[in-house]
Amino acid sequence: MIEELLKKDRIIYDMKSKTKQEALEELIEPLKLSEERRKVVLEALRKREAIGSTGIGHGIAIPHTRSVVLDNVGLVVGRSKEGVDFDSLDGKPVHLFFLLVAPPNDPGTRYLITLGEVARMAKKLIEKDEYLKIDDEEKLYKLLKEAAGEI
Amino acid sequence: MNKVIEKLIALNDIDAMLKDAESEEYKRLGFQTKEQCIENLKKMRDEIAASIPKSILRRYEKLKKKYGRGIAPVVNNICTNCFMQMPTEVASKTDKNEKVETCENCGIIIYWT
Repeated sequence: MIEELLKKDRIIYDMKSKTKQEALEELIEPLKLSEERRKVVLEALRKREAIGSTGIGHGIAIPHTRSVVLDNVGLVVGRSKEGVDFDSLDGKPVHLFFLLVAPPNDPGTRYLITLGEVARMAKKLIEKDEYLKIDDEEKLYKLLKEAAGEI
Repeated sequence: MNKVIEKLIALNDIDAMLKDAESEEYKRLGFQTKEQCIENLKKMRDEIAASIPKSILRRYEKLKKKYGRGIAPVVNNICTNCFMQMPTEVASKTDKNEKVETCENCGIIIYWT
């Protein structure tokens, strides 16, 4: 599932955002939602962050939400070399983001399974510790694909 | 878009979020949620619910009990709750999302995408 969700045009290689709010807005862009849907999903993401940061520590955040305005599950990966203050559990800036969005109904709790896969993939990338050093977009995509393939 | 539909969408999204946050599977994934913040979200949900006409809210809650959600998008003229094609006369309406409508087949409140 996660390998299928990982698409080149949904990877932001060099995020410009400095704040949590900006990061959510930047991450949502590759989904190419209509303005109406974009607003709804952004609001749902903000509400989710309000009940506890999705910054899980070690430089990684997995903002996620479900929304009735979404037709499909979508994943966006974003890398920030400078890091973003995301109120993470360990207080450290976030360098790697995985934005996961999905429609509300989900037979077989596929969404939660995918969320778990994303978390495992993120942890694998931390172990490898290469994602920040790579400058080549194709190499970063390959690294992400490899990590997804190991899940 | 009709304000009530907007509120129903927000209500549905909050309901999905609360359901996830309270599920054991979600907690096992290691995402931390703060009890006080969840209470605040519940309060927000109550405020939104209180601003929706009672008859529509009742219908939403009844549908949620039946289908797990009270509102569903119509994508390419297909209701994503029952997967039935919308009748041509409904699909060709020009006032979509301007009033609260339901799917003629399954009864769910619909939102046109």
